[in-house]
Amino acid sequence: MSVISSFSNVASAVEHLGLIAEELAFVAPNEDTGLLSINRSVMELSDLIHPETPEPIKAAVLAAKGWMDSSLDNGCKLSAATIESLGKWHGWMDAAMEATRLGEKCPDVLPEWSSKDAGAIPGKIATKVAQEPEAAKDLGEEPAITLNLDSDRDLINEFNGESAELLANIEQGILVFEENPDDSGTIDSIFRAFHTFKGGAAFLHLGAIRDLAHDLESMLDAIRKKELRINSDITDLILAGTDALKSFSREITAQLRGVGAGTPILVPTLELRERAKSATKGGSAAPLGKAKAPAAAPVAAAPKAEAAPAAKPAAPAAAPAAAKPASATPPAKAPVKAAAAGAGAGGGGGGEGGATGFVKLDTGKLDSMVDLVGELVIAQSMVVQNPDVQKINSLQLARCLRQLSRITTELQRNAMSLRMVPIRGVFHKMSRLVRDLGSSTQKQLTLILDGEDTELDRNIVEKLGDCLIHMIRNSCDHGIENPTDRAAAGKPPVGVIHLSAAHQRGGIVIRVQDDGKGLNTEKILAKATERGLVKPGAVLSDSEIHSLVFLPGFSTADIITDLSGRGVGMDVVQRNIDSLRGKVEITSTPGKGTTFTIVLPLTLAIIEGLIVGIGTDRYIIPTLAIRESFRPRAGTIYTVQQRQEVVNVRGKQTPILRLGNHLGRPVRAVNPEEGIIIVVESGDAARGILVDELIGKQEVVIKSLGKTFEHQNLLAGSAVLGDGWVGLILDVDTLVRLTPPPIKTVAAA
Amino acid sequence: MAQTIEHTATATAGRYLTFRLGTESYGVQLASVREIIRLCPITPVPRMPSHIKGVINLRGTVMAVLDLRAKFRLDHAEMGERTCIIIVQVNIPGSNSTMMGAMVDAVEEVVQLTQAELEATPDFGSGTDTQYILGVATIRGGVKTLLDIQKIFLEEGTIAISSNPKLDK
Repeated sequence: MSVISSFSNVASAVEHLGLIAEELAFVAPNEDTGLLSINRSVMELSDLIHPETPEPIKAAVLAAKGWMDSSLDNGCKLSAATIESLGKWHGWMDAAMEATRLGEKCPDVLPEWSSKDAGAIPGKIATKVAQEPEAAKDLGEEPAITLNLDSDRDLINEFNGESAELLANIEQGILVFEENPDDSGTIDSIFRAFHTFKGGAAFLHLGAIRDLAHDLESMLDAIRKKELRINSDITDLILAGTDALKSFSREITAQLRGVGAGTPILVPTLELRERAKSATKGGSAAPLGKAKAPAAAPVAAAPKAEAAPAAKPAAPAAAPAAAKPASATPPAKAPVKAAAAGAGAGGGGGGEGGATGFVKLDTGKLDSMVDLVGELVIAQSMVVQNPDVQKINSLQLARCLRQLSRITTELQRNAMSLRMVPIRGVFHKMSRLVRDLGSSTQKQLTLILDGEDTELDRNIVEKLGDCLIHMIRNSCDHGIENPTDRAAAGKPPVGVIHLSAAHQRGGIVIRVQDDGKGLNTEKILAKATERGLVKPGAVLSDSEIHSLVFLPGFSTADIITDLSGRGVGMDVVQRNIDSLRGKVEITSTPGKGTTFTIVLPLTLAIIEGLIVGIGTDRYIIPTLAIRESFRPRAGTIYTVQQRQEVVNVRGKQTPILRLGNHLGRPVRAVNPEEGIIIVVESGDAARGILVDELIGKQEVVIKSLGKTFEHQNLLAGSAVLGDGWVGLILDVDTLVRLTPPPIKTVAAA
Repeated sequence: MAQTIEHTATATAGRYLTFRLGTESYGVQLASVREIIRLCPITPVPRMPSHIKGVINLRGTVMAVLDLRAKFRLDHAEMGERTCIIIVQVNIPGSNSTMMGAMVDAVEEVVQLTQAELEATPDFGSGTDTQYILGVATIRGGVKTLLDIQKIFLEEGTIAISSNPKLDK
């Protein structure tokens, strides 16, 4: 038992290792993919360590932490060596966890992990050590940060919103901690906040912020490990540090609003960093300025020092003067900046919150609220449609009920919109990806973005990100040729990838279009035949061949590169899109390029459905798939071989599917003329679905049918209707493909 | 005979909820029972085996309802005044637990069964399917069949249904 408790929670450790394994599958050398996620998991792992944790595990986790730190410090890229080490490390950790769980002795740690320099990037000597001069005589030039607002605006905005909160937490936490220096929970949370901050800053290449956060974090780490005891100097230093970070944050906010966008932001940090370093080593955290106060301010360039008092009148007296210049800016811009910063400071604590206008909240709470609102809408319509209520003949009641339904509808719309986010964030990650891919594949690539403001459900956006990464990698690696080949084909040297999103017929259409060489149908077919996915000699249409690339494990790449060729990828795309109830199609012209088209529903939570009646049953057909509905006139329906029926829909003979018969349920409309034909389509296929009656159109909250029905594809889900009954949502995709040609039906039966 | 020893689960002492199907009395472990509700409108799901009665809406959650009579191939009976649905929490390995309903003729009582009252499933020979039976209990002269409700639901939870249409004529 004691062994199990020694790694306070083996189960959760294993869970984090699992997460790391997932991320490791996608990392690529010199890219940042997965870095932050792995970092977070490693952090969580290191939080699980406590005094009884076996030494080897402790050492291994610390080693991994060191790699992550160095990677973050190193331009946020995972080096090939780090990836290799992480892979090895993960295997070792797995074994160690298993041993711990079984109560066995855990394997010995690899020597290189326990060594002193266990923080350095493997295969690379620590780069940071050199820049740590003993004396703080000349602190050198203050580093400035420049925001890349063009490409990273959303990321920066997000970072900034988050940082305000983190800094508030840090400030609050450090004051609590000073009162109770033994409260390890508080110091852990402060430490984590700094770490998150550092991660975000490093990701955005905000060097000065990152370095300051890093040094403060190191100092906190020492406190956490009880190597250092907190004193008022350290508290002051941390507060001064947060003030400096806040100044950055204010500047970033101003630039995001367009004030002096693109100009370098300069806040003195070197002095703070020196103090943090000295404190970490057990020295004094007191302001260096105590010894040479006059010298400290000028370091930060004279004009700024003058601007400082105006910008930061409310500075805590305890904070050292040198750390204070709030808004350090190039002289020319100084007045504007000082005013902006002053306004921010004047707003006090609320200034940061108001600047972003966002509230962070738990997505679980949001989802449950949306669910509850859905229930409210149902309950409301149950009241309105209740026969007893309808008997009451009162104008006042009718008015109240109308008011109620107006409010609930409005509430529902608002609740739904809470989950809608613009697709911009995902798109911008793609421009980064393309930039990185371009340099690693030696191809010239441009990404054109379109429709970034298109909004869709955040659950969809999250899953979509992965799909887009795979598709864009695929386009860059397989689609776009290298410059020489392009020149030979008479194309401009720069390959263009066009990524667009647009609303279309109540859904979202996302396109990834490249002007590369297109899919090589012969090669795909040959590969598929070779793998036994297609029978030799089979004749397939081009679109059938194209869809082969979505099969698991399929890759035509002759060489497996870092990017693609491992055969995972496109099947992930297909799976993700399926799970989002969307569709993905490929069109490709040899020599001209390939287009992936993804069609997605706007939201996962509700659909607008047409409620149809068959016998006593009611079914819901998503309106997205419905083209039209009509009552067929006698004589417009013809039979084919006495088995199939067709009806002329706008000049096209469309097969009819008698839904009641198909579902094996009793029907009222025996003759088609007594019923209604609903024309549904999916892809190229269309069917006229014959039902007894149309009951109404309604927005319904989709409920899963649960495990019991997950193996059928006839129903896409269910919804609670106005009277509390469950209505079943038909899967149109299945319906249009279902009506089988008679010959096949016989074969299937 | 080998068929009866397919699984090793046997009944253990504890609380059981007993209910009636026709003239017979059955019991399920109380621990997996979430609640008992009166019969409510059940939406039939097409193209399902007959013992899958359909789906119900329990305060906003849609769940499947099984007709235990049909499952055990008992005679069909009209739903009566006392017909009710036992809501069971089913633990699916490697997944979240889910809730399903079992339609029964009437709920009887909750009994505490001691080891002495429990008996292994009698050997009925190969003609009777006993794979869902944990054992039998004799209480006050009556025999109650103890069911492995988790197993029943787990199997129903993963039934594969062909979507190929039969020609309904």
